[in-house]
Amino acid sequence: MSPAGTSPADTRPASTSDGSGPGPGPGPGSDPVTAAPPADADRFLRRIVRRETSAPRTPSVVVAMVLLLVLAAAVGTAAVVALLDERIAGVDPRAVVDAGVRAPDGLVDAVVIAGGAAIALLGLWFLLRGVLPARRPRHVIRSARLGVVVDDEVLASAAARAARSATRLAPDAAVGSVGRRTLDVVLLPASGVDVAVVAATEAVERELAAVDAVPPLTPRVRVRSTGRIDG
Amino acid sequence: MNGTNRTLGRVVLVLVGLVFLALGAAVVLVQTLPAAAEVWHTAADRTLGGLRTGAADTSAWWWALGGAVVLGILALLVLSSIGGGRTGTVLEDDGPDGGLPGQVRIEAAAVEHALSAAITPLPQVASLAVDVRRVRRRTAVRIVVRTRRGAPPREVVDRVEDVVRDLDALLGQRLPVLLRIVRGGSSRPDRVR
Repeated sequence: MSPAGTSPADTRPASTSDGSGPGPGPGPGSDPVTAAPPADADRFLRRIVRRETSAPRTPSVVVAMVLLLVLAAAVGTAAVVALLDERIAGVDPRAVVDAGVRAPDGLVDAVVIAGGAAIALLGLWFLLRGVLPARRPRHVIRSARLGVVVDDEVLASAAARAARSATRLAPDAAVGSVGRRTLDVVLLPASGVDVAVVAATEAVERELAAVDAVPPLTPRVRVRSTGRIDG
Repeated sequence: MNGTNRTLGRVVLVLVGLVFLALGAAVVLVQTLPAAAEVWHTAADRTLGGLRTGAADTSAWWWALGGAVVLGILALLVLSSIGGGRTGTVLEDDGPDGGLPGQVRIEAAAVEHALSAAITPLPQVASLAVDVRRVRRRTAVRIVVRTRRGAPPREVVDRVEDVVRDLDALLGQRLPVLLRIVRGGSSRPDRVR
């Protein structure tokens, strides 16, 4: 596949709708690429990107469903045993209901309270897992054609590489770390080596401007004052 | 990127969480507050009377059995909605009206191979995986690129964009494409400096 194969219509950014809304772009005869309605395709891609930047709740859902299955199996077994007028492990399910209805009489305080608190905490945990946002350490990169999601570590190492190449430090003398809105680069020069901090900051800023991450990152370049001795 | 319905998962989590929270709090309150125990006694006599020893008939236990079966089936349905979504076909087309009869079907493997072959030679790419999945009743391509250490993400994006535009021209259709640039891979720096 050579880049020369692109048709002029392909260079149009996917996000620009040409006023006509969800209609095909140019006529099907002139354009070999029958574009999906741009607005719709965009929304779909945005949805996929959002799925990639937030963590799935699948493990919690599986735990909750297994709990419900165990609960259903227990109630079902108890119902069958009661309907057959039998006892299970020497206990009549109807006697258990009796004890529950008579509560708190005849029950041990500590055991019931501990059990109730455990159930409530489990419920709170499920509730929070369902309600709170769960972001992954990833950023979105704007692109005309693709949905792009990049790990924060990749951004950090790219910024570190930019700072290092501007200062001519050793490959492992720049360390980057990325938060949600900040990007820190720490330079670790050998003792007595002068570092061009301004050049490094400019290089990191250039790199970030090129990347154009969402949410935007503010760079900060620092030089570790405690020097070190290189072999 | 898979077929999991995440909205369903979150709704189920919130519902189960609320029920468990209310249940646990109620148990603790009934055991500690006499007033709450009073309320519980009147409510339990009315609703759980049929389950007690010496109840007139067994219909209440039949209801309990039915409820348990329904609950179990619902839980299994939610579990079965998790995962899945791999697909073998990228697109199917019977061509323009009045053209030759027949269908064109493009397999996922063809697109996966084409993209792999075009992207692997890029100097920033350490390793690569391409798969085609069905998400929300649409076919989407996911490209996972492991870059070399310090590779500029924008260059990777631009080059993959070029490759995907070529694919668009080849297929005659714009597939939704997700590009994931992930950490790790080779610790060796970029082949080109």
